[in-house]
Amino acid sequence: MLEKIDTGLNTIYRLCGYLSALCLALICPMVLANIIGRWMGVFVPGTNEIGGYLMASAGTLGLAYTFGLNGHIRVSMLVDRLGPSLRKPVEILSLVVAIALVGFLSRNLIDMVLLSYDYQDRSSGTDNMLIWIPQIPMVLGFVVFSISIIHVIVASLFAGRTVFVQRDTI
Amino acid sequence: MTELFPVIAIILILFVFLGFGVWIGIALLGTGVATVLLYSDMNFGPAMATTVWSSLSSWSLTSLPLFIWMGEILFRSNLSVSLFEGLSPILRRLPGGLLHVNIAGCSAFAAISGSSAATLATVGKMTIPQLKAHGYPESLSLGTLAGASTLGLLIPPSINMIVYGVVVDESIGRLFIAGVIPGLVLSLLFAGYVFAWGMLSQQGRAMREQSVSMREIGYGIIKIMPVVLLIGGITGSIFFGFAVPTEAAALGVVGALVVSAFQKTLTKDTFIKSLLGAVATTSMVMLLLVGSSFLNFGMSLSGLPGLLADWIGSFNLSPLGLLVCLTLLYLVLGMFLDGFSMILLTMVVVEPMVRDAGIDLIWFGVFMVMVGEMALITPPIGFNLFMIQAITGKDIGFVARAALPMFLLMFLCLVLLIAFPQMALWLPEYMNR
Repeated sequence: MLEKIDTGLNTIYRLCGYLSALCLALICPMVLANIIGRWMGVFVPGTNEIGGYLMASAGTLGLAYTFGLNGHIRVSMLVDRLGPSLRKPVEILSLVVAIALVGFLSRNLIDMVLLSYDYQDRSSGTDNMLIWIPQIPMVLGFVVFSISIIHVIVASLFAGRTVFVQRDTI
Repeated sequence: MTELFPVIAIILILFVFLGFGVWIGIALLGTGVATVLLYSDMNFGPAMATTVWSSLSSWSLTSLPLFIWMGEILFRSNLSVSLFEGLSPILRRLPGGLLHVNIAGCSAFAAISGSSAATLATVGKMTIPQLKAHGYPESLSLGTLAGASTLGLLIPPSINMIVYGVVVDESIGRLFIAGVIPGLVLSLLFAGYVFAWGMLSQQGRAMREQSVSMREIGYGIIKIMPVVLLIGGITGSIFFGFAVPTEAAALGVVGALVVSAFQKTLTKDTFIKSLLGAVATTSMVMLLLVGSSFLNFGMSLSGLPGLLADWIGSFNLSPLGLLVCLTLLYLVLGMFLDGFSMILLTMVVVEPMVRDAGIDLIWFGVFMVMVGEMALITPPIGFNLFMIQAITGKDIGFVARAALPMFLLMFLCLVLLIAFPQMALWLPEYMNR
């Protein structure tokens, strides 16, 4: 059962990573459309804004995926020097700090989207889009990131899995 | 002075977070929360959400993932091999021989891949054994590798410049162009050092590579064309005003896909892997940006950066004095932080100081990227030194000694940049906008 949840969650992170890749790839044609439009003297409305939305979606949907790859940078100089008995509580402490902050941010992002939806806010740019639509993928990215942090905490507390060793900076 | 206690408290909080290994972006977010709590009793949750949304959904940021993706595509092509095969006939007859190929190849590859770690891993692995087989002293081949792999960060497209430009809200295009001449000067300094070794030392004089025919040079030029066209096209289109950096990046992605297709390395597998690689780097930078955007919000609420700038101003430091202090600060920070984190962590407070001192923010971007590069090879614990140690298995002391001349040349270039600010500011003057 627990293993099923574990693999299920990992699949979700990977799927979000693929979604993020899709958004990233779509930025390119969006920018190209703008260039071609300019050459032909046609104004393509909304490309800049949509590029920005894709940017936010690509950057946040990949957060959990990158977390799983140990891709987020941290200063591991001191933590690496700790013995195994001290290292685990310190690692868990920083994970708890992470979930407190990312969780708080995610909750407020959900509130923001709900508010945009209630008021049917529109973008002030030339795209005139209902702003909650592009906000959804970003919120999803942060929520999945929060889940992945909790996942690692639970796994290291109860499943006895080693808390992961981060790759170094850069 | 007492009004500076909160500053000390906030710096302490940040360092406790960092020391405990909290991910840097999250540590910045937490420090932002601490700052807001210290200075106001507002309900900051909604402000946090809107700050994060508006800083991430930014069009000027889109050049970042595109350039990263371009680098990932080229990283998976045979570009590094053909670059070296092409540069060798062109440069190997110079005194210093294949070491020039090492310098030019590493800087070019670092420029387009945007990562000195990737450059060391691909190019270094290829050239170190070759240089050894040709009998070049290992200290020189490792030293030039260390130096040149960081030098590429100055030459467009530079990811660090994009992050800097977004943070201080300066034109990324101008920053790119401003980095060109300092980057060239630095590479000429490296090449000059190798040239002098080839002319003056006994060992260097003894090393002469076999002669080349015009035909070989012609083939060499064809082989390096893709790299020349990519870097030249990106820089040129920005310089002449045909494209803004984001557009140049999108065209760069198309160019990289074409190069990869021509080399028959473009498969479904490499395409997806290059995208996922770009996702990982982009998300890593995004988390940093999330934290720094809210820290920025907290800082502007507190008014601390202005206070700190006034305090620094009260010492009546000359701009030069300020720059010396900042250089030292960044070299120390560079021991445990990477370039992006360093920019995002410090610019909140450093920007007003620098503006107050009347220092041009474009120039400062070049300065900052250059100091960040130096930090990568600062003996004894620069990050690239460890990378080279890992690749070659050499002792870190040996690697550090090998890189020391390059570090000193970078320092010389930094002195030149401070003495002649026009080095960075001259070329952007002529940009078409």
